[in-house]
Amino acid sequence: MQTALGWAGHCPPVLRGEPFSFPANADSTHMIRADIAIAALDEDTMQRLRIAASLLAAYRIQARVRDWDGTRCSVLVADHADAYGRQASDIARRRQTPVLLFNAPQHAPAPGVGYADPASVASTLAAALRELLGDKTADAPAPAAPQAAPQAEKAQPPAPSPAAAPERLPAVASTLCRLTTPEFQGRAVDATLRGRTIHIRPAEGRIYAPSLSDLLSARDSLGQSDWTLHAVGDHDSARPAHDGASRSLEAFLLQAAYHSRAHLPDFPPGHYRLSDWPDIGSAPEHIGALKIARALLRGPADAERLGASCEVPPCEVNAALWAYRAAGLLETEGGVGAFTTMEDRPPEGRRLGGLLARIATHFGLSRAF
Amino acid sequence: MSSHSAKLVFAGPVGAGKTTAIRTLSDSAPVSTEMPMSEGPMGDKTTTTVALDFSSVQLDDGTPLHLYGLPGQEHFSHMRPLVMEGAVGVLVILPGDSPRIAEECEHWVRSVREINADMGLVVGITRTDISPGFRMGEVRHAVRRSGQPIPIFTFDARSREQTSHLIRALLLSLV
Repeated sequence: MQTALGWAGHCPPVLRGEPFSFPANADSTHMIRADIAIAALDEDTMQRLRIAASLLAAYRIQARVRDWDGTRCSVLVADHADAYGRQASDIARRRQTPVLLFNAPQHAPAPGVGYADPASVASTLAAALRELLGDKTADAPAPAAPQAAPQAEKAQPPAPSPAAAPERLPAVASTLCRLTTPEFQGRAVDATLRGRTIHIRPAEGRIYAPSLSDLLSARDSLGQSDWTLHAVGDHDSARPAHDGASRSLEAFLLQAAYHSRAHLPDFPPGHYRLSDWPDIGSAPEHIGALKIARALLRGPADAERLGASCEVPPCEVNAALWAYRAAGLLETEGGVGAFTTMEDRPPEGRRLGGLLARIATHFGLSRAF
Repeated sequence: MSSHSAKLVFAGPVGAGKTTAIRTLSDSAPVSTEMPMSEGPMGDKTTTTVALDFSSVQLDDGTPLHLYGLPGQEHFSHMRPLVMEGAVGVLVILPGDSPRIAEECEHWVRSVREINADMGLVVGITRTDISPGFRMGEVRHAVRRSGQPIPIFTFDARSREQTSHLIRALLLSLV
């Protein structure tokens, strides 16, 4: 059934934005994802670094290498002999982002800073990267337990229970993932990044911010790990006083998850269901998420079957599951016995034909009918 | 339902945005029976639908999809079964700034189900961006009291994509 689908099990490379492909046969079920940014490296060093990044798979780290663009990353690799590299390094260190430096004068060891010789082979670079990314990934057959976020003042979610939330979060957990932990899921939360605060209010089904641009900016950066989360009590959980912007929380989380889908960890295996339709009317660009919601309302399903049934790429299924969980809507199905296999159900799109199918096509549901 | 045409019905209280949603989807200007409001304007709204709105969309093969907007006033409630006859589904449009939105939602969902329990149904809620008191949880709770979960979306009736998304949800809920 799956082989008949067109998406072949992967997101389009252009959406993943990966300069190299991770080995196709690697087991990514428990991979920790890392975002490696590079600045001012020569072609030779860059090639060795890319090989080193692929070698991190041995430590269950799925690394993506990209040019540094000023945004946050898991680790920065820069040439200290180059002014641009030094500038990138300074910014990263101010953000407490781990840095691996080439051509730097050797200093006393500093936390979060590694030094590499320009002639280092790929395996040496891989070891240095692994050390910077966190030694808790070493020897672990499954993802490491949640670590403290880089900044000390950040909220640190407790290890979530498997039934309530993803069993483990990666070392550098995105804020979206942290919203799925028991400490924050379904609760009024104020989230702050670089002085801007958004107010997440699940009871209202709304998210508030001082301005629309703050909301849009938050949507595009919620996949990062550096938001400070603060669960607010009942007396503080009312709508914020300022006259700012607001929108559907579930549509916001869905768009945030899709925006950062290349960096989200795999959703924990299991069967999931929805009891209510998520409010995603203001995210009409995500038709796949609508199909997924409808399938989850019909009965429990796992990610693989959802993708096959709805004809949605795995990374989009993954993003939708994280978003629905963060919104507090996704429920875990406990008993396998309650699971109705998707094979038992009529394939999507075969139950409506004729006129209704033509209406569906007109409104952009052609692949579902 | 005739195989040569189809029908969608927009229902909901006065001032919710039914006419706007129909206008957004239509190929041509809808035929409306808008009249000045007898009790004065409601905010920017100075007219209301006294009979029904009608428009159509031409599907890709030329088949017309008729769009009907029911008048929101209760004294026109006798028209609902007539207009809903043979419809693919009903889109209930509600104003998010109504202080009684949960009750209104429950009322309209029940009204549609009393006419046809199997009718496809979605709820679209407008103006939530300017409605400080809006709480989605209360609306969901009200709908649960009246039966199976149905799609409840906040949306902008002026957006063709968002209004179309309501129709997509309606169609998906039918299968």
